[in-house]
Amino acid sequence: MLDLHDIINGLQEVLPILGTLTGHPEIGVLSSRLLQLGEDELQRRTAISGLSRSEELAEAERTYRQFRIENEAAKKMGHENE
Amino acid sequence: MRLARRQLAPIALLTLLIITTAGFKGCPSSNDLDRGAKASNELAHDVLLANRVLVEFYTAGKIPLAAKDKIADKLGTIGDKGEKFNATLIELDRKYPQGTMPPQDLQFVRDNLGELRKLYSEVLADLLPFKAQKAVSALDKDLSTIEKVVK
Repeated sequence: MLDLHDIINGLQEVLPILGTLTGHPEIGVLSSRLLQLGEDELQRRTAISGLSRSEELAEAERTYRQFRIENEAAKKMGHENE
Repeated sequence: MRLARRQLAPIALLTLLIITTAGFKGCPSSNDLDRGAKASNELAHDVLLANRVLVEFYTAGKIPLAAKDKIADKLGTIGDKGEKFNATLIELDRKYPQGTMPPQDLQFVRDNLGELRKLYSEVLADLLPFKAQKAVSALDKDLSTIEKVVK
């Protein structure tokens, strides 16, 4: 039986090649990056199963702190020279 | 080859979203506050993931600067409200360690989650013009699951 991680790894290898072959390497890179996000999310969800209520809330608190950092960076993208 | 090029990003998006929705199972806990905490944590990760997807789309040149700015601002608003909501849940967790809340507090939790869900739906609508229908559909399904948890 195929493992989801194996499928992801396979797609991550194939998509950039397809992107290059079709003359749009940026789409291949984007696809590969999205798959990496998916892989990270899958690992996170596997790791957090069975958390207590307080642990869930603490995890959410940490995640929002991380979000704030990344969201500020996202807002600044494209405005570096302003 | 043209077909392959068109399908690259949707394949990746679809796979990402299958992963994000497939891993979520209904909360096995038995009280209101447990379910609220689970929903709050799910929402925090959804917002973080949405922000990362936005950055990847912008970096790849698939979303223009103005749209990126608008969506990033909206996500920032959701993050602020979500963080306050989570802080309130932490207070409620201390106040009601048994996990059962009085009706007014339970209604407060539901109202807040409903507002956050509405704001997030607006972000998903903003993504639609960028051929992210599959992403929007799957993320919306994920949010429906969260909403159901709190009901």
